[in-house]
Amino acid sequence: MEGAVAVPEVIEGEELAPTEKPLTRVPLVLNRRSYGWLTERIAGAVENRAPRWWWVAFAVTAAIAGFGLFCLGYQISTGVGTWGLNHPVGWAWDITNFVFWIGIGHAGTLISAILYLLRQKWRTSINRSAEAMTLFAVICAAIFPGIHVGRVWMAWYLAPLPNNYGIWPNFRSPLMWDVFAVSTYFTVSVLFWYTGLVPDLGTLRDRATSKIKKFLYGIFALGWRGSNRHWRHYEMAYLLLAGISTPLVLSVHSVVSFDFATSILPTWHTTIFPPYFVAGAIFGGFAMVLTLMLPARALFKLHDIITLQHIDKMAKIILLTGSIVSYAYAMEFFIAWYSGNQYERFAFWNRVLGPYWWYWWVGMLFCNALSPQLFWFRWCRRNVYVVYFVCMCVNAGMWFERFIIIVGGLHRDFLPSSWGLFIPTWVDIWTFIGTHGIFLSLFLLFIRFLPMIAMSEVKTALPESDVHAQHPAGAMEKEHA
Amino acid sequence: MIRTPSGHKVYAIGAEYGSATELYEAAKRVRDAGFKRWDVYSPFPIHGMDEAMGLGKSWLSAVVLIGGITGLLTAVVVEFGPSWGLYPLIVHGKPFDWKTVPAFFPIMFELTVLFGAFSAFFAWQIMNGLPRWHHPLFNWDRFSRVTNDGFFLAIEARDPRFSEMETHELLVETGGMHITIVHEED
Amino acid sequence: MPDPITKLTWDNAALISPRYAKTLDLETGDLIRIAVSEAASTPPPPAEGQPAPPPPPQPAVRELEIAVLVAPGHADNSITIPLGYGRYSLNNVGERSGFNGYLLRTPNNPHYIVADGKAVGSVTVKKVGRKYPFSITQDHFSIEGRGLVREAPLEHYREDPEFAKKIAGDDELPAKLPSLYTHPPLNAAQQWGMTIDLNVCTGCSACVVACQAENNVPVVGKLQVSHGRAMHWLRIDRYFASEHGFDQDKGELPEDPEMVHQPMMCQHCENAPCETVCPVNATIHSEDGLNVMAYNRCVGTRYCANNCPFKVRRFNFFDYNQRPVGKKKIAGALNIYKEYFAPLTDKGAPDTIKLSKNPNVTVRMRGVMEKCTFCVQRIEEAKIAARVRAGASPADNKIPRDSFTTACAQACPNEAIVFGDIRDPESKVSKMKLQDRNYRLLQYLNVNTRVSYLARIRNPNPKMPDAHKIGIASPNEKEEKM
Repeated sequence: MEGAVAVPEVIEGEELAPTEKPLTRVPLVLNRRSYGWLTERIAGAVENRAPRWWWVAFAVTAAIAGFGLFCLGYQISTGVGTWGLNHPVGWAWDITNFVFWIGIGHAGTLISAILYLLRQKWRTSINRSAEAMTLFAVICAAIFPGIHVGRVWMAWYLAPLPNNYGIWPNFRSPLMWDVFAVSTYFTVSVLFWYTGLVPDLGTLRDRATSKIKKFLYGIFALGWRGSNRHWRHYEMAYLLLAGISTPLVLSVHSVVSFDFATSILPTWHTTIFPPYFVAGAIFGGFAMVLTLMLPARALFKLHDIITLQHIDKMAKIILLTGSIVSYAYAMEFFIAWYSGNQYERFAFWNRVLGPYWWYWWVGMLFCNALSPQLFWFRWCRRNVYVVYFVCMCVNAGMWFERFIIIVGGLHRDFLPSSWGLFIPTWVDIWTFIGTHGIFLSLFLLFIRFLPMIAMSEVKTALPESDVHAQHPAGAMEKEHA
Repeated sequence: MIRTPSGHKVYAIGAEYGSATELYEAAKRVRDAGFKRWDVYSPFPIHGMDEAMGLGKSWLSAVVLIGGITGLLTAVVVEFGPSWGLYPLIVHGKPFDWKTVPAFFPIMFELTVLFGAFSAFFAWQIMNGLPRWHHPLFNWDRFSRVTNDGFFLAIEARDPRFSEMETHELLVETGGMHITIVHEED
Repeated sequence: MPDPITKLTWDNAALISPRYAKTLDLETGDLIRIAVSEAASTPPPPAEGQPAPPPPPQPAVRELEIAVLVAPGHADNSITIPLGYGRYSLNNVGERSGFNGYLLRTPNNPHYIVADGKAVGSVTVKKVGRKYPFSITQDHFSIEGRGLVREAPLEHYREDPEFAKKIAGDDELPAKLPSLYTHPPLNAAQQWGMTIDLNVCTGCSACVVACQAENNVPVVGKLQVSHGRAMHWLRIDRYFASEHGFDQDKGELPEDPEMVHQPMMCQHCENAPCETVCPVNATIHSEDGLNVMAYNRCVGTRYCANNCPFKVRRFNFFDYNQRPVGKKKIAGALNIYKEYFAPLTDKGAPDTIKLSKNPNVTVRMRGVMEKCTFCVQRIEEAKIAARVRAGASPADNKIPRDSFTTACAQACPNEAIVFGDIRDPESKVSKMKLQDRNYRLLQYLNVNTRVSYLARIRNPNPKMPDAHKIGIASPNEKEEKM
């Protein structure tokens, strides 16, 4: 990471005060960097020798991931009973972790797809790593529904395949929808991410110094040569992938929320869930993007590409979605009261005052509802330490929220005789920690072997890339005619 | 087939430009000169270049539409076939009529998206003739900068209007630098 | 089997009342040491302990360390210890069970040990300060004002025979709940249903044992019970109802409560919420109205159990039939649970265990959900017999009315459980369902249960001092009193 390029002259981008140049847009890439500088800085992070901190970090995360995988193997070979599950709590950390990770996996596609459609050019600095984060989060998420079933080796029954019993899957089951939604989401995210990577893989291929690297990057670059005839189809494909990913990303967490919303349990049976979950997913996902981006930005000296303006914008999205989520929390209580249903009412009182009371007070109220409100203040949005603190709160808070929804709903439902509590075992805890290891290991591998910022896309955000800007106004209109 | 004095087959004649704008202007000139088999190469897509090259809208969207519809129909067959036709089961007292159709929507949607995405992904490669292991332009040393900060234009020898001298001149006029004859193979 | 009153499994305990527990500063699970010192036995005082006992020269002391279980309704200042426990080996299901109450007994005082000065000089109870883990199947005993068990004193029933249908908002529901769907017909000739008469149910739990034996319900061991993984398909819910409300969450215990029992098993909802959530169609409805489970098809998502409003579905968290359960010390102080290394432990069960299984019922493996089947094996057996009898004339292959019943109904000493064909108006179960006391649980969910309950009618002697504490479990009664 000791890049070949000198340290930037201006580190934090406050130099363009809006009062001085009221009509100028703050540039997305600071200090008027050239194409070559961008390539050097971004590709250099991959090409230079791995810094020592990388090896240390990777060793730690890989060890955690390894232990997590051991826990998975143990759980699969021994039984679901190694977790703390019981009757009535049939789902707890497993599905909590699933929803947690899949929620995190939403920001990447949101940034890539929705912001792409909205022509938000600032996304280019963060979309690649956010997409990678999405994939790794979805991998972590997909582990849980995979292994939480009692007979993992029979999970192929979920596929619509003919079998010796002649029974087909139940396509009306929300879990079936989940299977399709998550697998589709993962596949489409991979396609989208890889499509975006191809031009940058071309860059790495062209810059590769060793034969092996040239060979490997060459294979994955598919022979990309930047031809405009290629860009034409490529851009259309990218646009369409963005277009179909947009409803997809919204649908995935809606479908996840259907797991709860279509059931009959008090606190689960709620029509508010789909938008509430989607907002929560974006909320948690952006927090996780910042959690990873802020250290990466500092370690790889990417301050000119990921500017305070980017962080500011992401903080605003966190504020917005956090407020939506808080509204949903309040609305749940209102509806429970307004419904007049004693089971609903009890369940919500139990959420606040029952055995898991502090999960609600700390997780949902403080971490999710209150802490993002700091982002009303510009100073907080532009102070990386405050941003980081809030993001960590949100990461934790979103996990608590899912736990409250799942276990809070299950542990005390209709018949008081079957009420119970959930106590996690060490396998529960280490499986969850292990998925963090898997996630971070994959992310560390990603920043070592792939460009963490979409070079070809960031380049379009430079002012000199706009061939129409230096034209007289008339010429531009003619071109579009 | 045009060959160089050294006996190499000529693939194209290429020029490098200093900026996206120069390349853009050059492309308009080449287009107006009536060339068909030529292309510009840039590290990022240049907005407006399709018009400058005289290319229309990509018809990839039609492929994706067909892919999406295929996905939708697949879902309909896969879902309703077993659930209502092959092996109807009484589940949750739900009937086998249109009233439960909404419960089948999520999977229809997901398969539509999945098939659409696959068709987009494979269509852009097939329509671009990718993946491709090698290309004559890679024989040009300077061309490796195309994925970094180089802007290139190449007119292929196969174009009926191609002529070594006039094409060269055209490229010089448009401000092309490092004008080079690109060989078909090393 | 859980104790009918305390719901304690595997162990016995020293039962004490909440008030006594408070004076001794004890809670459930605390170990106490009971010391019974024998009185000097030479001159037994003539009268009923009137004179002060002479100081015993060297009284023999019998001691027992035992854990306490606070049992609401127990008499104050006394301790009950069930006998027959205190074994130190339980073969492959456990390692130790309970406390040996015999240690306190003397030939003179086989049943009651009172410091009467005749045989027993003094009884002292001391808190040890350690805890003992109990496995109790039902932690929450407050009914939380929900109309689950419905009961009334006789006069009230005479005034309003339909009272059971007016509790928990049931009277506000339309006679036929509206549904978005036209439900597919369950059109077999015979439709199975059940009634449970709470009036005669004493909570004895014979049905639980019968069910366990009939359906090969695995024994899971003390540890698993404490994790909330008891496998009983049929359980008996026990609630305490007190004249004064109590909030169990705040640690309040009912004083002098009334205790009500409610057998609870799969209600065989016609619109079963468990079915629609199963992704693999492992639980569906049969045409004779059973909610059936295909164990072979089950992958074990546990979603059905989550969505069951009665929480009667039971999941095989471990391979209970193949691997021994229970905990074992592996190495020195390392107390590692044995089943936690299942791949390394021996597989298979001894022949005696295998032979105890009912051959007509599948033995389930781990990762599979199971639940009450209405003894489907008995239904099928009866069907086959009916078909054989019908022989060439298949038109008349109905099972004769009330010719068989489920294991629980068969075992019930009071015939509280009645099973049969609800389509046949002359069957016993149909007649029971026509009674005015008949009600169904959680009707507002429109799950349309096949099991219904008959409300409990109490007839306390009004001259008894605690007559007003009887028949108060159902919520409406409480409201009327307030």
